[in-house]
Amino acid sequence: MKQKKNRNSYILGMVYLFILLFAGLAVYLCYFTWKEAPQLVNSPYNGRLEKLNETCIRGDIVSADGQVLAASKVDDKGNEERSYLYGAVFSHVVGYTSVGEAGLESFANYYLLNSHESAWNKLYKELTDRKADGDTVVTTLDTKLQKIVYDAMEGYEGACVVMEPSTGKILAMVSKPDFDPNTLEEDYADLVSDSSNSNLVNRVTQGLYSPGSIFKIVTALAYIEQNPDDWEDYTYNCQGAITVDGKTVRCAHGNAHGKVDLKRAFALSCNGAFINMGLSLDADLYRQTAERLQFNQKLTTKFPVAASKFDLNSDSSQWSVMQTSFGQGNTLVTPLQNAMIVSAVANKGIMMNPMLLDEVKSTDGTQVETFAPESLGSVMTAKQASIMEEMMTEVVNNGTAKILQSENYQAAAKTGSAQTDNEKETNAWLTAYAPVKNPQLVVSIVLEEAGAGSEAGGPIVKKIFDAYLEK
Amino acid sequence: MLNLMVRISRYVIVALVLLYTLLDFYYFTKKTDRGKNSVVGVQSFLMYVLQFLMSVILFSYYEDIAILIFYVITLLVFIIYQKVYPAIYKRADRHMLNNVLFLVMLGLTIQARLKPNKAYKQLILLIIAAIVTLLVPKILENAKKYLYRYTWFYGIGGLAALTAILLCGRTEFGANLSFNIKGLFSVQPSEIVKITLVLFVAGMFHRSMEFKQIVITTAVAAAHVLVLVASKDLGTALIYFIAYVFMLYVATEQFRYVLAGFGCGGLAAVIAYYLFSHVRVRVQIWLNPWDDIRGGGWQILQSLFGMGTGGWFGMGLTGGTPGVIPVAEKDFIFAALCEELGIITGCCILLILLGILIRFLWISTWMKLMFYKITAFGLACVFGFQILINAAGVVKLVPLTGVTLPFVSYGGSSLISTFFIFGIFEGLYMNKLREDEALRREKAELAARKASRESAARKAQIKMEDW
Repeated sequence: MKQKKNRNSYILGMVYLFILLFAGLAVYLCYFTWKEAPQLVNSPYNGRLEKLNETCIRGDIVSADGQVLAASKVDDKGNEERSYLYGAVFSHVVGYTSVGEAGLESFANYYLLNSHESAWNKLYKELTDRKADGDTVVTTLDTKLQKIVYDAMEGYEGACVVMEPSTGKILAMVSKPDFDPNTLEEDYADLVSDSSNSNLVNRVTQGLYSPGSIFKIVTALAYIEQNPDDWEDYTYNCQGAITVDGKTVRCAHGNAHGKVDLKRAFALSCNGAFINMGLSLDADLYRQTAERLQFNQKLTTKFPVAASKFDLNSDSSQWSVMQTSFGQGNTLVTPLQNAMIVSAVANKGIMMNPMLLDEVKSTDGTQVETFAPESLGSVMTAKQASIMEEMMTEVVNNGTAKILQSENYQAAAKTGSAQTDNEKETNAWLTAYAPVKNPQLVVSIVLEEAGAGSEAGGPIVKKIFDAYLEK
Repeated sequence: MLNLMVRISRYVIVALVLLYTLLDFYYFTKKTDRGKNSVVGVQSFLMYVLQFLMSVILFSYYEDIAILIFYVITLLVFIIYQKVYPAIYKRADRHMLNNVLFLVMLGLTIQARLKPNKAYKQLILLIIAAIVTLLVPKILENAKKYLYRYTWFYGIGGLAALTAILLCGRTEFGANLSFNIKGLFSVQPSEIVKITLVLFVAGMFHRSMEFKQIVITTAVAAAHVLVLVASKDLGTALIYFIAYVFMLYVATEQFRYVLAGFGCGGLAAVIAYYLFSHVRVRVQIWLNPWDDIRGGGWQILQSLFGMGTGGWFGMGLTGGTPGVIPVAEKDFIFAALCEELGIITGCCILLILLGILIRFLWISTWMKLMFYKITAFGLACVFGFQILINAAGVVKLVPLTGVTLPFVSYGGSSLISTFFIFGIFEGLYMNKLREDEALRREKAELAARKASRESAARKAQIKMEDW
């Protein structure tokens, strides 16, 4: 006999629904506290972090090779003092906490101000009215490499970042001019009154530069994408200058490159060929390629990075298309963004999210949190990546970056000399990775008003590769 | 010294709350009245210890005698209420009563921590609410045969009150919510209409379940919702809507009404999104609070900062800065609680509220008359979804809609209407016990009569044998 369901069984169903919803809410609350909160609360708008410092001594920041980069000492009166053992070498990346906050000191604030000492230790300290020790933040930075880069950039203004392409780990990050975090409070007034140098700005993440010829990586990729079957047949006859509708662009030093294919044009950095290619591109698809490479995107890194800019669309004028194609125009890029693009080439098309934090440990050594490398997905096919790799290798072997040739490793690179607004000397760009067979390092460097990329940046990048790849 | 006390007290507070919550569920494993009463006794004790501890911290922090007086009065109110209620109603559900007082105690303490002056006002309202709750079961007992006759009075009265607010109410946080009476108290009718709407729907379904009746009921309920949306009271509109859909579902026992209801509701939400800018603003803030951190995003971000920085154990009572969250004492009381008393305490509060809610639903399954079944079920839904919408909004799981957390938030209308609902359930619970007892008595009498008849017969037989 089929029995009709009692009305109460519907109410019972609602009981289950409510239990499910409440449990879901509680689980979310726990997930939020466990996973999301540590990053979220790190905001200058969150006044509660200062309150944390009342109960906790700021933790250490250490490098991947175990060197202490920033540490706090407490004197007899309970005053806390922060010291930076490497002075200006890590100035921007480690940052400061004296006059506001910047760098790791800012975005790892929450970790540094939380303690995961053992409960007994904590209780004992609370009972004896002492502060607990904040957790130690272990970074991905390599002190040796950082020092090499820092010393090599002596006398220049600009930025350099060294990354591991397979993981996105940042091994070195230098911005010049710099400051000494130990004496920042005293120097602060002078530093901010000097508007021409902007010493406090981290140029690797915040510096938006005109890319110059290194942007030809993007143009070449767009061309290959839009002409998958016949890009190899591309040829252009370079006379040293190209004129379209009365507007003329010269190649560097007015060199006539003669008849070139795509690979040769890339190796010699021929402006005419790239303008010619750019004019043949579908602007909307070109834009899609750029945006896939994270132009116009807010990066999801744990530290703030300025968004790189690409502004072509199907309504753009011919002149903007011409300029954009070889890296001038309104395009702007950060040195970090550049490193990410080259990393994707080195990493078979997979772009990794740059990371600076490796793990957080308590002072008694227990692991609090580890950060896994994060993929941003495939931004070009493995085939396209290998074509780009071939072309960038050609730049080293027979092109503008011969300075990076070495018996110990094969490097791949692209140079650039970007014109700036003041029309003086160009900004020198160089972006490279090595070894091509098993990429370990990606370097992206820009030197302000230093001339041609290979001449200014070449020796520095060579030094980095030589030092690191000998091991 | 105070710092030290605050730091250590957080673990004690979390431990006490956790223990209370565990006992709350342990209660249901007890079968005998004695066992149940002993659990309730321990819970009461824990509550008073917790209240004492938190009041000591608040007093040392503010160093204001007003805090002390507040504590003493609150304590007296609680003790008297706990004695008087079971004295008047010997069948009262003391377990439920205890839980309500526990939540009210947490709410009052946090309000005293945030704004001591306002907490006094809330205390006065609590006393009024408590008296109301004392009366409700009596009314229910005496009028249980008449209440379902005034169906249209509930429907039209409620709608009229909401419309009056829409036309001439006071604007508060961008919404027409309340009447102001001589600048002293403001009355928010939508809180009371929550109850009348449920009574109306229950009355309609009690009379008939014909399709025509369902259409009329739905139209009136929809009118309630629309007036609220026009008054920009989105949260309450949402609660009315969801509660109605589920009431319809349980009354008709047909799932298709749920599908149809949420289909129409979803469509209406999309239309409202494009029609009303205030709906769009709420959604925008929810999606991207960082875009306007100094403006619209401030409230929700400060709420998240508070809960996130506090973590599992909180920053300790008076150790955080919950005051920077706008209207922390009302819609964001849950965030303020979590910030200082910890996420664990927050989860426990949700569990205690869930316990009360399940009790409500349980009582509704006992009801035989359609009117009371639907009333109980509808009020339980209103209560349950209000909690969910409030807490989920505060943690940015859903857009903010501006509703209070029952029993905990500041606000007289909310407190009184929640206590009213609580009173109705106590009344229904006691009615049921009374009926059960009557039934048992009847059965016992019947059995006794039968037994005496049998024994008389047996005696007669024995006599016959003797003879």
